[in-house]
Amino acid sequence: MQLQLYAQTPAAAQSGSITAGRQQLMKTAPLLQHAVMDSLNARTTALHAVLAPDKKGAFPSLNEATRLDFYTHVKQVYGEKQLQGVKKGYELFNDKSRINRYFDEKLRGFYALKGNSNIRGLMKAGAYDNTFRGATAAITTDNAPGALMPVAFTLHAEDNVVVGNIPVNIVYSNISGRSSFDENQLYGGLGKLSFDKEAYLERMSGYVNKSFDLNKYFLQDINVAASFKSFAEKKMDGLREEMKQLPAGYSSALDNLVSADQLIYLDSSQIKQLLLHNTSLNIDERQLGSQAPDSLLSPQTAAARTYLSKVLRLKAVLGEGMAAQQTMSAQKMVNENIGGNLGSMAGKQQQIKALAPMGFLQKLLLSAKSLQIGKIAGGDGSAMAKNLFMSGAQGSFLNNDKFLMLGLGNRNDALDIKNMGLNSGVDPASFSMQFLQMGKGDVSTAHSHAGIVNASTRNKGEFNSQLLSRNIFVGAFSERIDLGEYGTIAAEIAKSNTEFRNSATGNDFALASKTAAFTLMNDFWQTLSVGLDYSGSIKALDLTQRVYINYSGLGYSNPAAPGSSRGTVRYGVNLRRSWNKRKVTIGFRADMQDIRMSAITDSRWKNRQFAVDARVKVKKNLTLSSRLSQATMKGISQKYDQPGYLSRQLSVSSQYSGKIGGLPQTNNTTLGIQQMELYPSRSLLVNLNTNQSFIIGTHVLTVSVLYNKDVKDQALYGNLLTAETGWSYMLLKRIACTSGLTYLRNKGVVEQAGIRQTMGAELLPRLNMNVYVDCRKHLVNTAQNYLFGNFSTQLSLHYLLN
Amino acid sequence: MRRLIYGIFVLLLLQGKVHAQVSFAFIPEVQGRTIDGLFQVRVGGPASANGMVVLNVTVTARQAGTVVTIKTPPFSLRPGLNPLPPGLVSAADIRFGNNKIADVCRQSGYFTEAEYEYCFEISPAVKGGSTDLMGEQCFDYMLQPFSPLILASPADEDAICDKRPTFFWQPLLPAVPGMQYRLILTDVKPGQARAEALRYNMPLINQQFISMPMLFFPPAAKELAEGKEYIWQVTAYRGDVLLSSSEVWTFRVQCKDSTESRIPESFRDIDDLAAGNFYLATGSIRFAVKSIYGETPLQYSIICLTDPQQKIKKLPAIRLKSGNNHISIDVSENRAFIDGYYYQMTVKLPDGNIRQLRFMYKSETI
Repeated sequence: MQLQLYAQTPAAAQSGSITAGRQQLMKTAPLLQHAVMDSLNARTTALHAVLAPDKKGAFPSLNEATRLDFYTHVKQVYGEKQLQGVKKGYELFNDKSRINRYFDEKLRGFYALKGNSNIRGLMKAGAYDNTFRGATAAITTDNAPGALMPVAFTLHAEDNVVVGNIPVNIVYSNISGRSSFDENQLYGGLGKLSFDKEAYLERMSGYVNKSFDLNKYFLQDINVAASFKSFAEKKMDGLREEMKQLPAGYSSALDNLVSADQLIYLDSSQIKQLLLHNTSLNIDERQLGSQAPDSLLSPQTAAARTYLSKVLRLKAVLGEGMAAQQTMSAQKMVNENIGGNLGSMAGKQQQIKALAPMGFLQKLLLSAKSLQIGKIAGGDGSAMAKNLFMSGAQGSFLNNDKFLMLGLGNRNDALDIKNMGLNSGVDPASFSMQFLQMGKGDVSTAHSHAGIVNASTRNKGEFNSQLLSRNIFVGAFSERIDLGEYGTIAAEIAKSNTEFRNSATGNDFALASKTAAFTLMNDFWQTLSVGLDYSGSIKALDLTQRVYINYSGLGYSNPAAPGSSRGTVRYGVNLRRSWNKRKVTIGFRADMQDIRMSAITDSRWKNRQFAVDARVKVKKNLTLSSRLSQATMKGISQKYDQPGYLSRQLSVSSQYSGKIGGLPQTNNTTLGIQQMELYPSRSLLVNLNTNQSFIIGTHVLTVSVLYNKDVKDQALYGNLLTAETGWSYMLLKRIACTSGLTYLRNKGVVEQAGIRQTMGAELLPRLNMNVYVDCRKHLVNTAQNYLFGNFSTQLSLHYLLN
Repeated sequence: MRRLIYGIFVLLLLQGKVHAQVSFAFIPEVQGRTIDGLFQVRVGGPASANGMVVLNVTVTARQAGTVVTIKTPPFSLRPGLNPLPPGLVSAADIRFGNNKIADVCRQSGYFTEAEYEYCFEISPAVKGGSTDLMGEQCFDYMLQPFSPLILASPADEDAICDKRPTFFWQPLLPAVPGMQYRLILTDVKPGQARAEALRYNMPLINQQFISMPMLFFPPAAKELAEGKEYIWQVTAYRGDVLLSSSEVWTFRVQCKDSTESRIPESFRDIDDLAAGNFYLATGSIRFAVKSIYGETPLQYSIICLTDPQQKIKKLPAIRLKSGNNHISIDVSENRAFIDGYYYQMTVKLPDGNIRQLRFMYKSETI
């Protein structure tokens, strides 16, 4: 029988040395076991004064009364089936099979039980619960001609319901209203259920903590060294008694020859040397080691030989072949680890597994990372499926450092709020898909994963009622290497394949509908996507850096990662360094993209983006920053290079706080100049944006001005001036208000003046109301105005728990 | 107001090789970009149209040959211009050519750069096929695939101070007449996935009809809130057709300097501090002192132990009130205080007692 500390130590805590320490402890378990059983036996000795004898030699056992108590505990808390396992474990005792884990864990659980607590009862009492997390309702109106939803009503509610001790978060959101296309169009409701892992662990861990003393469970209250010694002393006392049967002279010489400490710390040859070097015994080494019967040896030697063999047997029992010193260091190591591990997620998970009575589903959920159903974001952070929104279900599991993610659902871009009123697209936007990703390590840490995506177009949905049916299969590998303080490297390789239904190529006459998975290797380079990304930091230099490169073939297509690039080579670098306790920070980034246009020539879009930004904290209350950026897009082809787009921008900003005329104030000002060329127009925009606020007693006065001018007078919205003021005050001691005046002039398009009012109040504890009204009068208005409405409101109610 | 005109680099030729009375409405610069776009063609039957027909579409690239031929299942031809019946083409027969353009098209559904001829043919639905064409029309177009729609500013995952930022992106090229942009902006709740934030949260900006690759923050809209994270995306469209969506970028409005939100430290009693050893003063010297007298100025002086030559001037005036006082002497802007140097402060309390505290000065990390 062995005690197994960390029978299933979670990956996070499983470093090599700890594993080794654990194994060593397992080997010397009888000692710990002995201590546990002794303690348990002592609990009942008051009632049943008789201690059970050691029926298995060195292995301790429970006395009858304790054993019955133990069995009752197991049956009550974990049920009949577990009891059978425990009984079997008790019978087998020395067995190293898995069944003994039950016994070990349950015995330690019994040992760690707090008073008369009943975890099953606690769990039953707390099995069902419901907590309303909060809700928001809002009505917004906006009469700008370009507003997609002139009137919108939003309802958002969150709730946490616990069923059978499983907490589930419910999120419901409904955005509806009148769109500018259809008076009755509703965006509709979205909802999802997600398993709340953190709350689950907290909940279960709470039960475990209420019922068990975890320090006792990990035998931290047992001093291994002391138990070891007392065990050895007891055995040596027994041996001494035995030796008393020998003639007095010999026994007294042997009586205190080997102490308990020596038994623990000396090895067999050292113990032998003790005997040989004892002058009062005068033993011949050859005789001591001989196989001859006692009668042929001197009585001294015979006695010493008997003694030696008994001591050595004891030594073997003590260590089971392992040096006792190692036990001490192992215990120490484990103890140190427990200290850090008791409260961690992984530690909690482990304790719950061992101590809480759980059904199949509850156990499964313990290794679940996330489970979601409804309208959800797919992918769980993996590169294979990202930016995906689908209606379906997804689960990811992490157990013993093995990761598994499964998902299935339907993607339908037509339902997106941003696509409201659009009726078709040139791309398929509706798929049903299944994906799987598995491997070693969590997706957000160092890992090696393989994954697949299988997707088929759907002809349902409001977009693309004319879609050619096809099946797309993507196979992907991703690897993330942790370089410790130097950062991480992420590598990703994916290959896609598309098979149209009823299709044939070239002179092939038979139309076929193949499954894309079976022809995955088709058009290899055209459908490959490879990426390498390094990011890290150098603390000594206060420098963070990222370098990346991606390639994707012209035919690559992954419906689980909408917006993934095709025919693109993309690379870039991003550096940011600070000096002088971050008083000065300079950043640089460059992003380059070459997007192939042609399958037969070298035509491509060439995109370059550069940006340098600097920030200097001049004084505690003054920060200056500046940004210089350039973006260009050019069409490169065999015949000619085509100017596409150019933007160069320089901006300088300041943030200053201090006092002006005795009034505390803050000011943020940005001055910018931007050259923007979009053939055939060439604009040079100059802009100024300043926000000034003064604190006057309990009031705040704000003044904001934005001025933008196209020096070349070419841009449609080039010449914009907006000026706003605000004055904040309290009304009836409860309503925080801000009132302001606004003015806007867009040369040749629109001119407006108006008022703006906000109000915020706590109607009831936890219930807040906010009102926003912006109302303007058109002084000038033209047909070109799509952006500037003259009436915008927002009324929102928030009910929040915290 | 003068409308900005985009450059049109590619000549659009609508060649009328019209046959019989069936007509086709097809916009190659939009619908000719993908294999699925082809079936947004609208077919106009003659007034007398009646009966089942099939549509045969052939796309040929001048440099490479036939790219693809697609034949739809039978459908009923009706008078007037009509879209194809919904779901018709999901069962169409597709034959791809044997060239590189066709290979890419077979994998991605996109037509790459080439001079294309798109031919539409309507023939009666007869078993075994019919050579009797009811109508045929071909469209020529020099196709240049779209550039990706790339966002520019505010940069992805950037922190900005402006609560009414102007949004910039790179235009979708080549320009297509009538193309406009939409921009959506929502907040991101802590821990919320990007894809969910864009759909679950109320849009703060959801604007269409944008013709330039930029948008001023709508002046009438409520300004963004300090400390919150926001997400935005741009969509290019023409009429009711989605052309391209940008990546999804986020940014955070963070105007207040991080030093302002420093963790409040506790104020230890001056007697404790005076009794102890060196204490660490980060940016400011903080202590608690009790006074039983009325309001009075706190008399104190500081000398530098590391460099006794250092003269310490311009110390702020502190006033003590009756009762408990939490004193914080901000010296972060005082040049006499040097990171890592030791100092000694002598305080004369109102009751005449003198306390001395020694401290090491540490400048704050911003």
